Amino acid sequence: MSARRLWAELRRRPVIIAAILVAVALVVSSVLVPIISDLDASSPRLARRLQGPSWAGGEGGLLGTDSLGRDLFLRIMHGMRTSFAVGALAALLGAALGTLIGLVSGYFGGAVDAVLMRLTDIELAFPGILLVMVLVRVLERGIVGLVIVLGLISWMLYARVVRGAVLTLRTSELVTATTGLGASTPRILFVHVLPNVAAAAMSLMAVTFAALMLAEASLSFIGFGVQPPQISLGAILSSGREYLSTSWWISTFSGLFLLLGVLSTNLIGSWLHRVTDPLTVRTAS
Amino acid sequence: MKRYLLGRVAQFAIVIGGALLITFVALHIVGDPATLGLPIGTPVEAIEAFNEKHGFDDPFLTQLGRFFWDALQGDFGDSLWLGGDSLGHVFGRLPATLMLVVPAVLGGGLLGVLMGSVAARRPDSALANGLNVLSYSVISIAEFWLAIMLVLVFAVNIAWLPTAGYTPKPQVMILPILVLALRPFAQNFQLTQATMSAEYGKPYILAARAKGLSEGQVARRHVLKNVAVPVVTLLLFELGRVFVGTAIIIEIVFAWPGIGRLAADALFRGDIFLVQAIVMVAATATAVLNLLADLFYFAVDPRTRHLVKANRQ
Repeated sequence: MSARRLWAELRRRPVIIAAILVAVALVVSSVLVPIISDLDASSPRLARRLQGPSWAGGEGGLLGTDSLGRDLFLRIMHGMRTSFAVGALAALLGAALGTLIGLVSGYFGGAVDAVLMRLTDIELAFPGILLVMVLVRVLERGIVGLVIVLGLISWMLYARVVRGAVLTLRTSELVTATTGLGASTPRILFVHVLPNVAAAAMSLMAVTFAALMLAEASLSFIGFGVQPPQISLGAILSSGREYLSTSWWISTFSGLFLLLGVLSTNLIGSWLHRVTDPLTVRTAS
Repeated sequence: MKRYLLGRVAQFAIVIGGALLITFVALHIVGDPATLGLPIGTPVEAIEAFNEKHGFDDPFLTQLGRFFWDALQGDFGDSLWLGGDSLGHVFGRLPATLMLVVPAVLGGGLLGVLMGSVAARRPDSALANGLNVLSYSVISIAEFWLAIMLVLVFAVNIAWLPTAGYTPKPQVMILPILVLALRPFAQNFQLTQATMSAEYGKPYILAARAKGLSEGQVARRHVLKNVAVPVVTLLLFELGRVFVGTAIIIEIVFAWPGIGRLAADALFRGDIFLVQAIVMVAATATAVLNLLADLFYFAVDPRTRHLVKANRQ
């Protein structure tokens, strides 16, 4: 789909425009605020602990302070940055892995295909979060381990979709012609087949991104995700539970920003998927 | 048919075996049982005795073989943390989890189907639009956050409901069931609405109406049958997802002593025997639900029977 048609589609959808604005604002501020701010997001300032937001009569600045007196808005922005980074990196890893497996599986067929597809069957049927918790527990805890584990559990869908696209391409004139011209198999796969299936993989990535952000927050919430001093929305939310009856702002605002981030990317992702996915576009036109 | 069923049973075994294998490799090769399970600062002699007692010094394949042999007999070893048979602890916690998960998924899911079919019959109505926005928001919301907000409003501020704790009284179960029901509701709503509006656009509906069937008959005899396959599949899938996924987090929020909180506690304490037993039960439950979904396809959709026959020839 050309950029112009995408723009024309977008202009008819105010909700998606709003979602894009929100997502961009969140990304920009989560990158800039930690740089600009002269406060420190990690070191405690106990004299200012559990201060309410200034607009609610408290003395804790924009969104109040946490149980160690740290500025909540600043910490939420740090957490937002973690969410976006983990979601994007894990989605990329899953997409790369799944695309590679789908390419090989669809192009070579036969035993390779059978084994790889049974593998996706098994993975799809697995009790997901439990295995993630087991893996995170034994791997290095932190952002890198989390990205690897989340990437490892999200490749199956890509493998399936890419394999399907490759299957139809394999018998096409494109592959016959390049084979006839003497191109090597890797060249056919990566130079000629890959660009043709990339759209399908990318439109899936848009959808999984939001789900992975949510997964990171959930894992960090139960203590299996990002570890201090790294800051995560899930962990902030969890820390606020203890002070729920007195300092409601900690859990409330960290969750609210998480919701904004996930909802906006979810809306954008499913819209992009709808308008760019080769399958749905073909049936619609 | 026979070959198909055999294939399904084989897949069933492979899924459970695969989950156990990954868990075993993760806990024994990537991690180390003694480091995970024993407190920091345990003297070397105690670590050696621990490894000796459980045979963790044996070659990997010996350990693996022994693990699967014992697992087949339902023996996952004694829990390090609670003592006593691991599998017994898991089964002991199972009712508490099912008490939340089953009503939540079935209640939420069926309500979603109902609302989805209403919305499909009246597209662009205020009700349909409202439900659409609601379902998107529900899917984007972090369930644990919603749970905490509900506790804040209903338990802390108004004190209508207790904050957490385990007594199988209705008022204690309202909040966790409500939270767990939201996503099944939203997913089933979206799926029912989408498949139903697609079905109503197909030519056979026109034919059915032309031959004089009432709207109710069209819905019951034709549309519902076609919608049932994806909807039931989704319901079974959600049952599995909530059972081994969302329930873990919601049980932690509400201090509910189910299998999910047991899993988190066991992992934190590095109780590998208990973790393996939990993975076994969770993988079996997921595999059974998948098998049920396949058999349901088979019963409802004649095309799948035809496919199986064609495969055999």
